[in-house]
Amino acid sequence: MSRSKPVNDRDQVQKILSTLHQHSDIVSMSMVGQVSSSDANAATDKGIIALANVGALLPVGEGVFQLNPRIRRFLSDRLTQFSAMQSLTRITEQLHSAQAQWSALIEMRTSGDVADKAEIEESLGITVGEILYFVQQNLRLLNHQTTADFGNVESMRRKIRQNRFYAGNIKVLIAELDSLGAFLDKVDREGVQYGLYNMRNLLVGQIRPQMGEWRHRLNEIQAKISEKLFVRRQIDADLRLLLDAALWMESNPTLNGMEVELGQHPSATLLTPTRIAVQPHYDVSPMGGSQERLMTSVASKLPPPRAKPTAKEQKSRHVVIATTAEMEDEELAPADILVQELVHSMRSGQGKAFELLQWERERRLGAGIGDEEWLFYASNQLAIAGVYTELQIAPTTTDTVNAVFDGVMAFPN
Amino acid sequence: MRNQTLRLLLDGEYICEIAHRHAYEYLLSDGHNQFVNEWLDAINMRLARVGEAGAFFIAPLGLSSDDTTRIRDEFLRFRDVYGPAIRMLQVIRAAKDEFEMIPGAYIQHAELVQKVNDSPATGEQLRNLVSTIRQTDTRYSNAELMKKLLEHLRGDGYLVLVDEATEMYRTTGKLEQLTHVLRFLSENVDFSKGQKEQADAADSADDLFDKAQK
Repeated sequence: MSRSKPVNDRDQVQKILSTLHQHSDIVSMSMVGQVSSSDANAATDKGIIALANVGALLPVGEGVFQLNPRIRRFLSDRLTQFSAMQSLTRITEQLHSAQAQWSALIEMRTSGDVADKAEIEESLGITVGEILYFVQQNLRLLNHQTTADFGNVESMRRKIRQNRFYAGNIKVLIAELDSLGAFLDKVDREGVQYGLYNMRNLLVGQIRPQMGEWRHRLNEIQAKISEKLFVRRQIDADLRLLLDAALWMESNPTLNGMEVELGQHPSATLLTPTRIAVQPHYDVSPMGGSQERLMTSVASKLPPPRAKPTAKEQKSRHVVIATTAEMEDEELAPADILVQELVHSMRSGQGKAFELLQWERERRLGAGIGDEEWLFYASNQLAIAGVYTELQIAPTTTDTVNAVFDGVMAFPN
Repeated sequence: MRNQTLRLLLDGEYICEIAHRHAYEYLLSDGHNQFVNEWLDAINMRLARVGEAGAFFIAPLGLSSDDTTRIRDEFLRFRDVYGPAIRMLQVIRAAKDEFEMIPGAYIQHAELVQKVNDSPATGEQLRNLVSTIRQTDTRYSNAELMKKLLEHLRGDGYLVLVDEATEMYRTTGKLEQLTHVLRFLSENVDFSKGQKEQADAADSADDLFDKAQK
């Protein structure tokens, strides 16, 4: 199956790769746009010409070049740099080639003319390799383009458009996989029939085991795209809600709101949280030396206390709603208690006129109230209380100016 | 981060990736969610999320009758409570074709102003909000009004300013709460009349709003 290549060819490959390597900076530059020889320095200009000579750069105008699309594709694949709407690589072309090459092999087998058999087998091998590579690459591309939320597009809307684009691409890829499956069935069958065992094993053995996984991954990507398209519809629906609310307010200018039945267990999301105010205070109670030092240092930095302004009289209006004078019971002196009892006794009608000196004499003397001070104090107090009293004046034996009394008579009213 | 996160929750903030990224990541990382819930449980509250994977916020352990009364009251005052944000978002949507009701959408002041200046209808829509937007005056230019509108929404937690120099804003997770409320209303009152017919034409959604604006 393998065919020895002319040495010259290999030299050519090495020459091309060497040129690419030598001017890799220009190749890298041309990945993101065109390169121009007019505004380049001499070294760059030389590099552009060298790359153009090996077909790595293609002229697109006067002195303007762009990277060979095949090289760009290869580098993009390697670097996972996919453009926003990069199409999947169709494998139909390779499939048609493989079918033609397979038919040619069968024809050779039946006709016995095997002149180009090795070449055709090699071509078929390359075609199988291409199919494997392209499908793998397509799956990588799809995975990359559909997983990123915004990826290489500017907005969700464009992302969805992109997802729709890939949803269509996937359908085509699945159809191609179906055709590939049918072709493999044919190879499987005819390989045995015509004794093309090696090629049959190559084709069926390399591709078929991967078909299941490819389909599985495609289904997964399809589901992902479908989910994202659903999200898109959901977002549209949310915008419509906004519009509906605005329209409701416009069409019901007299209504401020609406009566809503919340049901048994309303969602907590309907309740906007209210602020729970927390007002911190410094704990000034001594909690140890360090805190005390801290507090002292803070206190030392505080300005001296201001002189307290004299309290102004409050201008607020005072209204007295009700008041009662609180009477405090005064503790009476023993003499007052005796006077009080005496007045009470006389007013209760029991008493007759009697000598003041005799009233509770023992008790009075026990409380340390002498006769003389008692007579003076009690006669005055009784007079205040409205009790009539009369001094008992003893007959004078000497010629004195002041009359002397030795008792007081009290008369009940 | 723990203290800041708890403080944000007590302040009634919606903690999403856009408005409070570090706090959001803190709540997502293992064990923290549980700690915060235990902490809030002591004051009869819990950590809640808008939808399944939306912004975090503080909610009562169970909604009391006072809570349901407040929700009902807010719906009765719908125009005052939710109306301003809805009308302002409508203006943004009219001035920005690609606007999405999702957290994280970028909104640039200059872009909106250009559209408003180019489109008299959108300009009029904006000027109708003079009495709704905070700190505005009829003598303000479109650019000034639009700035005030964005700042109003920022003050209410629907937007954050991500770049002061370019006046670039982003929508926050609180937008999902508004969406949640509107969805609830559309399902429970005759609020979304005509929505179903529109939903059937989802694929041509691009034109729906323009049609409705006419």
